[in-house]
Amino acid sequence: MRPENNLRLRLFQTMKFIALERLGLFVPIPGIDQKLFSSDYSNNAISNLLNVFDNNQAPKLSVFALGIIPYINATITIQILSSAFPALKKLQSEEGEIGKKKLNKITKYLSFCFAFIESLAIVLRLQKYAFDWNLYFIVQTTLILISGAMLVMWLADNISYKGIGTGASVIIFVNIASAFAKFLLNQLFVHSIKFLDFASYFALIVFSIACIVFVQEAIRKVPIISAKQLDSTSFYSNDYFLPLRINQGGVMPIILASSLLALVDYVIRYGLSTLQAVYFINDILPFKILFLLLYSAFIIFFNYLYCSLVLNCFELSNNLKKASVVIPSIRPGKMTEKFFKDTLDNLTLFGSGFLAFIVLAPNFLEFVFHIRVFKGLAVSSLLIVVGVAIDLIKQSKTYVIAKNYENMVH
Amino acid sequence: MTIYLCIAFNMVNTYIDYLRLRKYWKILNQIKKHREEIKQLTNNCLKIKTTEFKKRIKSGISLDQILPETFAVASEAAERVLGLNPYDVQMIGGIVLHEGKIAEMKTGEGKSLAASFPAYLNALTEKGVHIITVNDYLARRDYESIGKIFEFLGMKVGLINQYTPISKRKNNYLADITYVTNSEIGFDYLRDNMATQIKELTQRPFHFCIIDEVDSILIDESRTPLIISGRTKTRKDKYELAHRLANFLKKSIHYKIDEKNRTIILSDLGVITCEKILKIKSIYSAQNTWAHFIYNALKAKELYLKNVHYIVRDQQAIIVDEFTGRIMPERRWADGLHQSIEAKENLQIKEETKTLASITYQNLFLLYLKISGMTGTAKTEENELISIYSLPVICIPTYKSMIRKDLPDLIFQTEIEKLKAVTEECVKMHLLGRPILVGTTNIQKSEILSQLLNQYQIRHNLLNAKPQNVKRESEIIAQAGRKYAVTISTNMAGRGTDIILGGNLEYIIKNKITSLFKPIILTGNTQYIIIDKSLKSSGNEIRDINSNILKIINLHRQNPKLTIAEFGNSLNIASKKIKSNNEYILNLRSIYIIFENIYKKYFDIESKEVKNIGGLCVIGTERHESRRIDNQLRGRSGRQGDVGSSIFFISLEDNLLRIFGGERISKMMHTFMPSVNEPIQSPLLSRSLDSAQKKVESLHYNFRKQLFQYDQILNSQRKAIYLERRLILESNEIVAWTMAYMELTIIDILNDQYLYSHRKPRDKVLKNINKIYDLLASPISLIKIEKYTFNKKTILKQLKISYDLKKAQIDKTSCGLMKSLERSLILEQIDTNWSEHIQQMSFLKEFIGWRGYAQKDPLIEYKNESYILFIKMIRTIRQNILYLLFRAEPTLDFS
Repeated sequence: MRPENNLRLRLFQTMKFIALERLGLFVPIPGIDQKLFSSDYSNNAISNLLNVFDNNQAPKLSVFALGIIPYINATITIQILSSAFPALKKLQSEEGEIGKKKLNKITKYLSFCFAFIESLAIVLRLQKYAFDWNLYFIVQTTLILISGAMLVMWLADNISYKGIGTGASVIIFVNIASAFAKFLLNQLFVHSIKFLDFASYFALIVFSIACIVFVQEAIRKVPIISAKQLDSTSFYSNDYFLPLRINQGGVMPIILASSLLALVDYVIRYGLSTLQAVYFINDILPFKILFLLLYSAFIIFFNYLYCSLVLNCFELSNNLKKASVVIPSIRPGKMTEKFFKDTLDNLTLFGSGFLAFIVLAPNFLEFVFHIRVFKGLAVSSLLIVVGVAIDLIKQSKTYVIAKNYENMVH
Repeated sequence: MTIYLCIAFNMVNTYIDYLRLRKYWKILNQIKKHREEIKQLTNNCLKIKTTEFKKRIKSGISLDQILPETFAVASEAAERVLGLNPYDVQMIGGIVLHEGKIAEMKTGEGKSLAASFPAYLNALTEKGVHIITVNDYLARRDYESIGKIFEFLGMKVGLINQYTPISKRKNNYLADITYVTNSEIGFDYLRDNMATQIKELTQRPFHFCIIDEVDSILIDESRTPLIISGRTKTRKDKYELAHRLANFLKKSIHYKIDEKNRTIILSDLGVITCEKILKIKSIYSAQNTWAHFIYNALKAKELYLKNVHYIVRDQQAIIVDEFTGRIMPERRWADGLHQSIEAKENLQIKEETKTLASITYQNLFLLYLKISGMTGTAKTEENELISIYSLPVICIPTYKSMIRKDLPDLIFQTEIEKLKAVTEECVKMHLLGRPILVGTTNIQKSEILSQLLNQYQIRHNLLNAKPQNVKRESEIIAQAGRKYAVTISTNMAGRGTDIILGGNLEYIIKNKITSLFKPIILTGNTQYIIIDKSLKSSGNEIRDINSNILKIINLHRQNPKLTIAEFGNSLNIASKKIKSNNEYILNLRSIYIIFENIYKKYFDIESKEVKNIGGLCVIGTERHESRRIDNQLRGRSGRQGDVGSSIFFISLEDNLLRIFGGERISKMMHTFMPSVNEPIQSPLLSRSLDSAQKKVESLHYNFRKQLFQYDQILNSQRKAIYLERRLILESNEIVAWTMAYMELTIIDILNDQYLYSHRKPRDKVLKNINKIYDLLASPISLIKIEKYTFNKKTILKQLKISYDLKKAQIDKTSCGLMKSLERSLILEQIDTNWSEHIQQMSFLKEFIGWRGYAQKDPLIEYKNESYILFIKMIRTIRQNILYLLFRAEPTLDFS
């Protein structure tokens, strides 16, 4: 049982842990020339590493610099691995509380490994900024970063347990949102962009969010009915359905695609000089069409791949069978499986199109109108923010409802 | 190395236990001090203490403050009334219970007496204390013995079991302390909340309960809901046909069995075969559905076995409880499964039912302000007890330390090898003369083992839920501790079974006395009985007995209609040495005492002999799905510091290992085991068995926790509805409720309309207004003018007028008719809609799990959607009331 059912108290707890997490972001790591570091920050490799998930734009290298990233990496790895290794899958779905606990433990150990690797990767690039570059510094800084990451993981756990929402998502949410706010203020006051530009930028954001909310929440309702219910005397409504999301993969395909794109870019730039002609072609074609095409191809590819990993049609139809549930007018077994396959293919096609559109539209606009204001907020971040926000609202609602029931009794 | 670690670990544990219990020893010393003073008081002074305590509590003193004194008074009363001087550990158990915790006390340590102290203390608040037992027998037994303590102290004691008439229930619930079974309290709660008149109510608000065998009720039983149901139609022919069809279908060709989830999966071929045979297009069609019947028939065929899960008695299929091994005649499997089993066994198929009201034990007991409980086995489940009921478990040390030897498991490859070995072990132990108790998991297995022992010509008793064996239960148990006794039992020999080494003296004496008097009672023939010399005793004793018998016979002449049961009761009281002035009982008692004097020496000798050869030997033939049940079986041996041993024989083919063990264990077996015949006794293997068992426990726990989380929602709704219902039932101003309901209905409709008015076309607005007037059943002309310019005020005014008109019309028939009409209408609407709502919620629960496929948390979705359903239901109730009330026409009925 969760300890408290009071929404206000839970919100307060969430705030408290978020505040702690934010605080840690502003505690600098000792032994580093932070000024030099932050001036280099905008275009160095470290920021790239840190920027994948949360737009962590702290100018300092802080104790919590790694933040929740190792944990997220570990979660994703486990998720992908579990579709490849049946033993892991079994832990997740069949072994109940103990299995889930075990999986949690594995995830945490894995996060530690990720934290170790990532912190080492950062520390090894810090030579330029360190006051005193020696083994002691390396060990100390690595340890600080790792423990910072572990501490954030603990904070996230606390939010899940005492606050509202899933801790890790809430932390990412906060980081993205704060980065966004900062970016907006920067644009307004530091770069003092024109009001019209700002307004159009703002409108675009609102538009994208609306699009995302729409598609994120869009589901295909597959009607289902159980053998038990078919026999029931009381009326049955059409409220019983199996929802399939249009954007099944969420933000993952975008992340994978952009990572691959970066890799390709890296390989071409530094490895295969013969292929550098590609850049030339890309530049002369209008609107960098080559880049856009490649990006969307990647997104579509990864969306298909990821969806097939997440949702196994055979298993789905089998699970329905186990529960003696059918889709009206479709036979259980092979036909149901085929039905799901077709439906999912359609959905994925639509979803991929949407993802490609929402990711590339800003880029496209940027190339067409040559304005660079869109860089501030990646679409992948928007997807995350919207998803987390919707979950938070739904969860808060349950507490309000619980309160309503209580009021009825008192 | 490990040994040292173990020792260190044990020491730490002992120390922690010591710290936890230290507080209680301190209180115990205070109790003892008070006891010294109280010893001097006369019986009457002791009685007055109760009123004095009550006064002090009213003046604001807390229960904890007067705990030592009250415990002292209660224990003194126990000694004076029952002749039982409570042990220290019983007192400590009592304090733990008062604190609202679970006291883990082993069998034979006197749990019932321990419960009496906190019951007395908490009853002083005059809010009622319930002592809850698992069956009628235990409730009656404790009521008749322990209950005397409270009566002695001037308190009212009540007893409620399934035979208590409704009319007496209210009074018994009003008693200071009520002995009641768990199912009765649940059903009375539900019935109270379906009552249509105040005088039908029986219960007070729940205050404090002490639950006996608490783990059985709060864990094993928590999943089973108590249901009050109404009957609906039955399609006999479908069940019968489906049964025949199921017999035709073949396993692994037409269907598969999922043992872990206990379901059947029809293969594609299976579906087609069914459809061909039934000559229908689809077994899933909504008009003529077959799927449900086929699934149930297959389940009945493969997963629900006769003499394992149920027995057939008197042309009825009766469920055997998997935890206690006892039959549960009133329980039926839901959703047509029971009907399918009846079809399978060729019994009369009973009607299907519809749930009218239900509650799970979990939520029932959470209604109490304070819960406490006692059992012999709870520690392994402490986690669950804390997280759901916030009940910590305190282990109470035994009066004498436990010296039973728990031998490591013996593991065999096949079931046959295992059974052979069990039989051989029985023979070995039997030759030594040790009493043996063999525990099996179901009736079938107990019978197989019994046959095996017959082959070796070992005399034994069989204890299972079969009627002929149940009848002899108390006799079998009473003899089970004697030399050379062999008892084969299902889980029935678990909770509450007290096996006394050398045999149960009290039981055997009572038996002798009863058989002595049986002819007199049955025939009414009051001929002289003379005890002859076959009784190994001196002439003096025989003369005493005969003179007492003579006196009793004289008493019989005055009251010839005494039944055996009544005689049994009197004998019980006589044997318990409970204070009594009844001449009859006093006479019986003197006979009892003489018998006791004669037999005691023989029993003492036998008891000593049995102890010398090693005490009771418990043999388990299978690990259960929960360690608690295993521990229950083990606990039959080594009671009150006796010697004894326990050992489990296990095979790889046992259900637990086959279904949940995984491949690792069987692989390990093959590497360890040289040949098929030899067993293996390895700590490593035992550990993996333990982990398999823990896995199952956790699986069940998970299931219960999930059920609990979902059930919490229904529970809040139930609380809200029941409260509203109760308020209406008790209200004198029913008009206020009706008016409020009607106004809310109208406001609801108008709000719908205001909310979307800018978007909705005009006729939609009109439709809503018309709907209101339609509900009001008022002539359309009245509203014509206001068609477009309506407002809330006028409509509400119209409502009031219409209502007054209706009231006048109805009250004209008979004064006050409107009031009773309103009340019964509202209550009826609440009941029917609530029942429908329960059904809707169960469907919602079934389907909400699929939301996970859209990465949505089913629980959150369930919470949100069930709230919508609930609000819808409330609106329907209100609207129906409005509608029906205005359509009620008074007709005079002269019949």
